[in-house]
Amino acid sequence: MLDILGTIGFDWRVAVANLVSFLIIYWILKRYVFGPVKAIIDERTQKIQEGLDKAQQSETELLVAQQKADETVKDAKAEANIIVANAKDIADQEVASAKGRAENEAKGVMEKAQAQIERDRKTMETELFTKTANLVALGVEKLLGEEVDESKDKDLKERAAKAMQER
Amino acid sequence: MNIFSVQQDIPGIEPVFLFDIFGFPIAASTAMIFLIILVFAVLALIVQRTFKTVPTRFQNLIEMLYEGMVDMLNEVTADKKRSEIIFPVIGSMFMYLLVANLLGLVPGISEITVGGSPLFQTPTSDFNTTFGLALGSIIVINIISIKEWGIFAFLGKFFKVKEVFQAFKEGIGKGAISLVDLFVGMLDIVGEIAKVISLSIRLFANMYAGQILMVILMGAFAYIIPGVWYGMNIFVGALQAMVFAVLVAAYYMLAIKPSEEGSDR
Repeated sequence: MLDILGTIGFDWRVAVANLVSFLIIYWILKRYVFGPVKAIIDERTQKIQEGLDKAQQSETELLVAQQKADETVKDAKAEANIIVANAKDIADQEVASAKGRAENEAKGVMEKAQAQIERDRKTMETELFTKTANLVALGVEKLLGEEVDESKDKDLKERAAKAMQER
Repeated sequence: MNIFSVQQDIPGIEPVFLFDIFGFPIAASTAMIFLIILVFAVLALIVQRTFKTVPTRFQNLIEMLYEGMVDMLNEVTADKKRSEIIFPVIGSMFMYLLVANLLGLVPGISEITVGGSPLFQTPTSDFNTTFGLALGSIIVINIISIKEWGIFAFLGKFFKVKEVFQAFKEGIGKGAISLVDLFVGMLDIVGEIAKVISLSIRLFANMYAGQILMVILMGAFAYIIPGVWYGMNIFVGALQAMVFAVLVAAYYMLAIKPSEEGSDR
């Protein structure tokens, strides 16, 4: 067997030397190349995985926060609607109350004005009758051509005023 | 003088001996392996000094190669745990053979001579390198197999004496058939030796033939055609390195107990 291998240059010493040389290469590669490269790849893979996990977690947290925000906005809207409705009610009540007060005040003013007008009218009427009676008495004096005494004058005026008031 | 050809001597099949150290011959292939050790030592230094989590282009290349090898091994073993165990050996083998096959193609390296003999010889074109590697691999695989199965079960794969006794107890016909099994089991010992021979000669013959053809082509026409063959040699060099490493991994998987959990890719 060794003779046959010898024809293609087999020499066990060279074979052993080359095998030992390979073992040195194996040691170098295992200790200083494959080990560190594997460690770096594993570290990177772990970092990427951590990043992906964190991204996933952030996404979930974002989703939860969005839901929470939506709920808060919804609640706030509902609360705002209630507040607006309440405010409207209060405003309506206020308006109604103010309107009532204004109407009452206006009514009072109107009544006062009407009373004043009535009083003025009566005063004016009295004055008018008085002046008209004077005029009538003066006219009677002119017609009769005689002076009317003070008691007659008073009587005429009263009668004239009475006659006008009766009309 | 023909300027279109480069005449060279066809390299001999025997190893080129450079000198002796205490009666131990140092071959040109061994010198080349020392050069390869130096290359890997430099690579180790670069890895130690420059490799970081954020990779450079060179680091990317090495990592790509590393992951390619891991994937290839996972394909062969179909078992990640097993792959992790044998990766350093198979990966080292692949990288060593790849560099060994390709370094010889670097122009000028084989032209350096000492006393008229080339200082460096492609390690894989020396049968001693491939034989030593193949023999070492098969021995290690058998040691692992003994550890896995136990010495008696391991020997039982080759010498099925127990089965023969049991078969003869059941009947002469079955006993006769079991004798065939005994013979086949013994043939497996030859199979183990054949693994060493086939592994070593396949790689050696491919690389040696590539070298010879290169010399012949250079002698016929030194332009264009050798370039094509050069490219082919690069491909063959990488392919043979891969074939050797994959076969060793496959032999390893055949030698160990099948995984109970099944495939775990």
